[in-house]
Amino acid sequence: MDILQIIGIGIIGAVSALLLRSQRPEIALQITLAAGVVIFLSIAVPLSTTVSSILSLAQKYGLDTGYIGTVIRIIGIAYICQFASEVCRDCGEGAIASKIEFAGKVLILIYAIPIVEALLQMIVEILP
Amino acid sequence: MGVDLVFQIAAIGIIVAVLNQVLIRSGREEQAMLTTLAGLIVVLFMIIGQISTLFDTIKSVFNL
Repeated sequence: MDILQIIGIGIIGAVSALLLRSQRPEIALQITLAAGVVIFLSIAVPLSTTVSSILSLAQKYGLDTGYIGTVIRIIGIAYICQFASEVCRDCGEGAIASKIEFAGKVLILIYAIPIVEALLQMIVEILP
Repeated sequence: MGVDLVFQIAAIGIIVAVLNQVLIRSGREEQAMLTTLAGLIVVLFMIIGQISTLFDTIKSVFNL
């Protein structure tokens, strides 16, 4: 799906959410949620091809795919936490949004620790 | 899928809003509340299906 359709969905979603915000704010939120989901689902196929091409590129040049897999997983966690916290902020629930972001950061840290460990080991080996 | 999902939800929202006003004007507040609830539940069912596909896609793309 090319970019123009995605922009069209976004604008239509925004306008219809605005239309309903005064009367039925809860259904207006559902419209923004639906638009966000539809846009991501329409972009998921090219995204998965790029991710798999990155992985195959890494394998071809002998890079360690473990770390690249972790980086991709971190990107996934970052994206979904940002999506959920933005939806919560749309509802006006800033507190819940910050909790979700906090949990996302902790999870990303947990995934990042082995990479940092490997990096430190490498540095220690390099130093005389 | 796609734009028609957004249009369907907008249509349901508009219908529920109009019905709500009509019922409130005719003095039946509790039925207006019920129609609002019904509209919300219908929209929720549509959205939850889409959100589950979204989560499955994200799991498969980022192999979380």
